[in-house]
Amino acid sequence: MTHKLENVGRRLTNLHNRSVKEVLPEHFASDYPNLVQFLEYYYDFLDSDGGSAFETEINQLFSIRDITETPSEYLDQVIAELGAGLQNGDLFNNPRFTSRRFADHYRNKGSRFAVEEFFRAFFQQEVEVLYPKVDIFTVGRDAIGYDSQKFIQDYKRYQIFSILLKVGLGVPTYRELYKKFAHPAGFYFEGIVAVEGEADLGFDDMPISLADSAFISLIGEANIDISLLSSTTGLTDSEGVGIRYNIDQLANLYSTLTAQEINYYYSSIAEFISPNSFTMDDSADSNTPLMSLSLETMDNNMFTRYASDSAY
Amino acid sequence: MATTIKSTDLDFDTVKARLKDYLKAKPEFADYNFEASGLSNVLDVLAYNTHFNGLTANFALNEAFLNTSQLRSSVVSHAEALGYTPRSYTSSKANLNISLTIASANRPTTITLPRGTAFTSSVAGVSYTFRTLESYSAQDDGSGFYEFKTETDSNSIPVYEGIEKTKTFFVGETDETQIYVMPDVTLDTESLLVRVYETSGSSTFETYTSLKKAIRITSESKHYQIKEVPNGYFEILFGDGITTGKSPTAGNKIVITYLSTVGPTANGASVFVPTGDLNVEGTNYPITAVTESASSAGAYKEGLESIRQTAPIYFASQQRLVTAEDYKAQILANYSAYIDDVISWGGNDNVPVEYGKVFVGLKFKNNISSVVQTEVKDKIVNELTNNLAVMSIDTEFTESVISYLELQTFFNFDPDLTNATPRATENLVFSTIQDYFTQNLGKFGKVFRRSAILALIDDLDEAILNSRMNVRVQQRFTPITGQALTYTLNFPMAIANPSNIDRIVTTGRFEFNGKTCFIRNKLNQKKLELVNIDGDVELDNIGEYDTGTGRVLLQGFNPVSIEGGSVLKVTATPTNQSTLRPLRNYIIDIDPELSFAQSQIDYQNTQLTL
Repeated sequence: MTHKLENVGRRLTNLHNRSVKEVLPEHFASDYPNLVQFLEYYYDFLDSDGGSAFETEINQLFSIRDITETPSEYLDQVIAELGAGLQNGDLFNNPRFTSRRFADHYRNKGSRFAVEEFFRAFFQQEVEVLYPKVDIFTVGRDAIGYDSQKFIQDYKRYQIFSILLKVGLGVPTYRELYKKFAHPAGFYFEGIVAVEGEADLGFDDMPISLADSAFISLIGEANIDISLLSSTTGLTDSEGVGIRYNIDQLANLYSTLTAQEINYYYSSIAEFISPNSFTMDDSADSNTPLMSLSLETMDNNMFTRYASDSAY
Repeated sequence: MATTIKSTDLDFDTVKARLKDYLKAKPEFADYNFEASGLSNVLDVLAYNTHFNGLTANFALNEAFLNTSQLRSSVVSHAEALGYTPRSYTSSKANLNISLTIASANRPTTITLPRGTAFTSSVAGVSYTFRTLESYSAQDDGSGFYEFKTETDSNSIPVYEGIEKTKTFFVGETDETQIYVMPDVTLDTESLLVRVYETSGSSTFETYTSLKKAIRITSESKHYQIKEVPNGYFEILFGDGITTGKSPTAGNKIVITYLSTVGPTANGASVFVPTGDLNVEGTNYPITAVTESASSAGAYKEGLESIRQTAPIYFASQQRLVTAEDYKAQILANYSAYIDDVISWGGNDNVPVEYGKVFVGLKFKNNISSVVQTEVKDKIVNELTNNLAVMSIDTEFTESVISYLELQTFFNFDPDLTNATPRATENLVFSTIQDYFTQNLGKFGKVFRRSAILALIDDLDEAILNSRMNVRVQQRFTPITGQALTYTLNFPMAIANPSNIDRIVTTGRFEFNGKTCFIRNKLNQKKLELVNIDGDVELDNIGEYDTGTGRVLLQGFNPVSIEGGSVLKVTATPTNQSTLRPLRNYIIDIDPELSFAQSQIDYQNTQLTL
């Protein structure tokens, strides 16, 4: 059986009843019924609203510091003590639960667990804590080249004192509180906005427009149920293979290509959007692009898809 | 400041009116005349009873929380629940080089300066006694000269102000809770020496140490706790003999020696005279005491506001140093007798960034010598951060940087509305501004808000019709004369863009090329020029300033001398004069020499011409 906060049955019943009749001489009840009623109304008044009476406060004194029972305005006072000066529990979904967790949270500070608990308590978000040091290139251990996805140590993300937080919030939203409650001072931290939503790219139903040239344009519309301005990863099916791609970058890169141009270069959507597709055009004025990796640099996130000197 | 909970309306008349309305609404009393004297008297009594009990309930509510408690005993009690022990009176401490010479050929190799060796010194004509709290030994250097040294081989011997007092307890039956009360409100808890003798006649004893210094606790651990009790005295607690440390047993004698101190009034003592000679093997020899650092760090009991602020963050630190705020909490909790304020930030937030470090800025109390400051910093590292911080994270101290504000305050003043003169009102306005700085700024992280001061000024006198304030920020540095050097000054805010009317960056005066000169930015430019007081340009390009970073760069600056001393003031107009939020270790203060308040007579008449 569950209880409401006001009646959790955790304490003895309040035995503080009004004994006006019992205290007054017996004959008062018969001789002065109005006086007895008057005094009983007075005690009713004390219980009435709390605006000018004190009974509520007196009765609450027993539970005033009980996190479970104390009224929310007094819970804020408890939170101010336990929460390192927080003014209230407005940030928390369940301030009573969080108040009980403060001490454990403080003892866990510096651990992955503490960071996860911080985001759960303060922002109701799950966070993924990553240590970018595992991606630092180590001589003798890691292969040189793009495929190894190892990075030279820098003085930011790729260093020993570095934490990467993947959470569905912008860093400014949580920066100050995170530093106050969870961040190990002296560590670099970076936030990645993790956006999870389903996008319907609608390749099957996308409208076909009449081209403004001899070739038709391929126009697709993706409806993504997110409002953040962020880097968005797309997930689509290409000939039975699920592939991921950076929608923003892709849209920008291919915004001017016609369907025929795309068809000319690529045999599948996977090849079209794959970052590793060999699509460089080394030719100057040829209708058929020449593919070569000889002049590639390895420091771009994605290879250039087509050369500026291409016929297309 | 503490806030208070106001749970019920405590105004007597309101209480009575509500009670009257409540009763009037009842059918039995609807037609009663509540204004009649008899009933009115009864209502008075009941309203008074309500008022009085409501007041008591309100007090009880407020005393239930740290932030709203008004009584020291309540605040201390709440802090204790958070694991925080407020600072007691603290003895003023000086460091002396103590030595002694024995010419006799039959001198010992080692001599000892006993605990309690006393020295006297005067502050403001009042004599105070300082004494050692440990014994120190000295070795014969071969010529009969003995210099006393600490365990770490330092010749800096600390002496503490206070009267040494002893309190003796006999332990009763331990099945009853034993309470050992130290009836002295000026006791310095750091000076306690707790010795437990087996019986009243025993000469051997066991020394108990503070639980704060405990690393591991077993049933045999000899620790004590000390806590302030509601009447301001202190209570000593021992373990239970099972899990929380050794407990004195029935028949034991507890002898507690401590210093009863005057606190900060003994700060500033600089000449120390031994109260007696040192007896070595039956002969008295005079002690020589040379002051290494004058007395400082004496303090009263920790104030309520300080407890309110420190206890919650101390609880959050849980005796660990992980977040930047943990450093602040632990340092304040342990060294507040020396320090007014602490700020800390991770190397990730430093400029330039330095990962793997935590930066700490300390604002020492007045009159803390550089020797003591260094000593405190060493203690923080050796006793605190090296033990409690995340491994491999280093602590680096930074000096606090003061940004002085030059405030030009103008107010319209109608003499018809007051008896005060304009000059007297100007003085009042200026002292109000200075008071505002004393009470609200001068610490880390304290923000200057121009409108807050102007509101105070406007409320000072009915004759003050309105006010305005120009705000400029000043950084100071000491240039090396006779050398052309580059100096970079960082202002803790963005500097205004150049204007075609006002100079945004200016400096104080100095001698250059045999002339009195100063530096200013060129109109409409960020370039700085060096000009003489006649306005002639001596150097066309002496540097520049950057608006966004607040940086002022002086290149090849080679003054002959600085007017009025060695410190050059560089002043800049901030982009936002309304709000100045100091960065990291910056503290905002006022430069009273370059600030003023000026009245403008305003009879509030309609003007006929401009």
